[in-house]
Amino acid sequence: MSRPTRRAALLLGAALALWSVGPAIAQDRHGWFLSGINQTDYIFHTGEGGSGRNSQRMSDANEMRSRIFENSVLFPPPEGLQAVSIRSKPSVRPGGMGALSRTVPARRFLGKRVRLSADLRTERAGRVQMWMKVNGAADRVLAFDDMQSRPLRGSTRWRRYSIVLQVPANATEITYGFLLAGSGTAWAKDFALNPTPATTPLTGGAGGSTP
Amino acid sequence: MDERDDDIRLQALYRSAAREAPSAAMDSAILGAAAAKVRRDRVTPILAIAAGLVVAVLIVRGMALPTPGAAPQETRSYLLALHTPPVDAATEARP
Repeated sequence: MSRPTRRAALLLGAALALWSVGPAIAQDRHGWFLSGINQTDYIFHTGEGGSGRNSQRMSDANEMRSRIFENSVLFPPPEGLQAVSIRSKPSVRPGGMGALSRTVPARRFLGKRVRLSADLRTERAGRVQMWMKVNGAADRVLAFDDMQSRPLRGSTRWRRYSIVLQVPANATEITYGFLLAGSGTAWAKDFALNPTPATTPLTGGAGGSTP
Repeated sequence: MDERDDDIRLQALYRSAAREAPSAAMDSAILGAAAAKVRRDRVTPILAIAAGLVVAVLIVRGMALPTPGAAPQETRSYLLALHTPPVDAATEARP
C-alpha cells in the first residue's frame, strides 16, 4: 500500500471513529446529564471547542485532565480550556428549559457549609441560572438554591458565580448544574464544591434562594 | 461743500439700506426655510432606508427578541422535583 493510500485509509478510519461516537449524549462519563422542559429543543456539549459529534471525545480528555483536590471537586480542569454548554436549537419553542446537571455523594460534606462556584458565560440568553440541591433519603430536598433572584440574561462575559448551602448530617447526595431557559447559549466551566466557614452567608435554604 | 455733499449721499445710502433691510431679512428667512425643507425631504428617506437596513441586519443575524423560556417558578418546581440518576460506581469513586 502506497503512502498516500495508507494516509487516506487512516483519515477515513479516524472519521468513521468520530462518526460512531454519535451526536449529543444523554450522560457523559463525568455524570453530566441533560434534562429540562422541551429538552429536545436544546443540545449540550461537554467541550466548548467541540461539535456534538466529538463531545464525548472531549469529555474523555476532560476526564484525563480532571484534578481532584482534598475536599473539593474541580471539573473541568483549571486550565479552563474545556467548558460544558447548553445551546437552544433554532426551532426552540417558547416555555422551554434545558439543564445540565451532575450528582455527587454528600458524605464528604456532611454537617458542613458548602460553596458551589463556577464560571458562567452567556450569549443572547433568555435566562441562565446555576443551581444546587441537597437531597436526603427518598429524594427529600434539604437545601436548595437556583439563583432565581439573580439570573443571567442576554450576553455576558465569563464571570464566577457562587451558591452557598448547608449540608445537613442526613444528606445523601448533592445535585448541581446550570440551566438555560428560552433561547440562547450558556457555557459553564471550572465547577468547584468546597467547604466554607460556618460564618459564610447562605444563599439558599430548604425552599430556595434567600431574598 | 464736498464734505456736505458726501454727508448727504451717505445719509441717502443709510435710508435706502434701512428701507431694504426688512425685505432682505424676509428673503433670507424664506430662502433658509426652503433650504431646510429641501434638506428634510432628502434626509427623511435616507433615515428610513438606514433604519430598514439596520432592522434587516438584526433579523438576519438572529438578534430578534429571545424566545421566552419557562417561568422562574416553573423552573424551580421542575428542579425541586427532578429525580437525579443514581450515583454510579464511576461517580462514587470521585469525591
